[in-house]
Amino acid sequence: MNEHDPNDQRLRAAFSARLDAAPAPDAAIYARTARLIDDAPRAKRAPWKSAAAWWTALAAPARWALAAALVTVGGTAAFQGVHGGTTSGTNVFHDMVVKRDSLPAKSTAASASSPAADMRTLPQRTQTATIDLAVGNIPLTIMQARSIARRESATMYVRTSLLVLTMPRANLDAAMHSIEALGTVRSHSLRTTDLTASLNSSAARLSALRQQAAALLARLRSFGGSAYQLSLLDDLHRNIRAAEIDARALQQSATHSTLTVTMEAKAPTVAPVKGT
Amino acid sequence: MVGRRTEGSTDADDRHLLGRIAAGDRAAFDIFYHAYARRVLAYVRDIVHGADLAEEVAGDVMVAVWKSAGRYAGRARVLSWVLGIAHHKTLDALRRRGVAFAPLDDGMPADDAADAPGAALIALEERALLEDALRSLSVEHRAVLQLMYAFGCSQSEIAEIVACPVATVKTRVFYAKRRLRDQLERMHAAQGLA
Repeated sequence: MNEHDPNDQRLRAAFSARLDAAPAPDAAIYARTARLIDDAPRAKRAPWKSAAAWWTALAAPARWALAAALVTVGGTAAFQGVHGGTTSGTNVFHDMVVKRDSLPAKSTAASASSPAADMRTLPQRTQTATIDLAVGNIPLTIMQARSIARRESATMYVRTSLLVLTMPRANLDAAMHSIEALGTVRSHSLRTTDLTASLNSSAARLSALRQQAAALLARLRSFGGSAYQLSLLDDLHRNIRAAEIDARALQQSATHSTLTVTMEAKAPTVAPVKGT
Repeated sequence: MVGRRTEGSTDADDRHLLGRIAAGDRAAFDIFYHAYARRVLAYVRDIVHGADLAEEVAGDVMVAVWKSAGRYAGRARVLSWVLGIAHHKTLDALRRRGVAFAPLDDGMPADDAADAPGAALIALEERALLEDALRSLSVEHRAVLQLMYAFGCSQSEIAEIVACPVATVKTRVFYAKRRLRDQLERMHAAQGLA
């Protein structure tokens, strides 16, 4: 496009005006999108760049030590991701060592009462709510919403006149009630999605990846490792990390609710002229 | 008009949001949705000319953003990346419905001297006229014009979005503008006769 060409400038003005006049998507599109997102599994992601270069730069003994440490820590993080624990990594690592090496195999009854078993048997749900609110003063409403967010232990993101609050599931009703009192509710919705299948699938994926990493490390220890095998191990750890992020996100969804509030300023009311 | 109110974000903000979406942050996705959904819908609606199909495709685009945010490599602007997804989803939807959309003149060289849209564009303020004229263009021609003039994409960005060489983009822009001009002139002539 030529910035100095008057015809191009006219085209740009005309197209920009068309874009500005385009309507916002209907709320039904958001509802359908949210349903698809909550139901569909996510694609495998690569959250950071490949570390193959630094692998090859390390001396062989250092690589062995690091590989062993990564398998242990990766497995630990994966365990924490599945179990949704809030304890520190060190504590979880300690728990794992005790469970694996010192204790006898778990009985069926013990398994049934473990947190992992609970996760498999109890339905896990996520709730998503939306409120379309007409308010008199948007900045003031945002301040009031911050106060509500603090009270309901919610984290709140603000962008212009959009608020997104994430809070413990038990606090959603109270938060919705308080937010709705800040203005005139034009529309609202509440949707519950069962995450049990997704959580189970995520746990199974983590477990399988951890086993693959351990098996590969055992082979490397027995037969010596080529750069290719080490890169395979590196890939596995990246996948474990991605699966762990998925698991944590799912856990967060299962224990927290999201409330999206869109605000619109009320049209100013015009006082009637006296004497008419 | 929630979408418009939240569209004033910077590319850096949106990259940060994509990072959070890649980590599974639903709140970040909601912000991203409200920032981009209107523009995505506007783009798709112009290409497919059908409100129901456009809404379905726009929803699919946002789902694709959620699923593949981790694949965003950071080379392009976030808007270009999203429009790239929108473009391919739109063409897929049209293919499924058997709509032919490839322009016939992609291989022909563009003549810079003939690039002036002409006097008919003076009346572009008449939006209804522009809408009708655009409807007469092919899908690919509508796409390049919209990407260039509505979204301010450069030719290399458009090439990335529509997955074709920059030279092809130049040719498409050239012919799209010429057809738009011819159509507008025809419409003006028809109005003059009426």
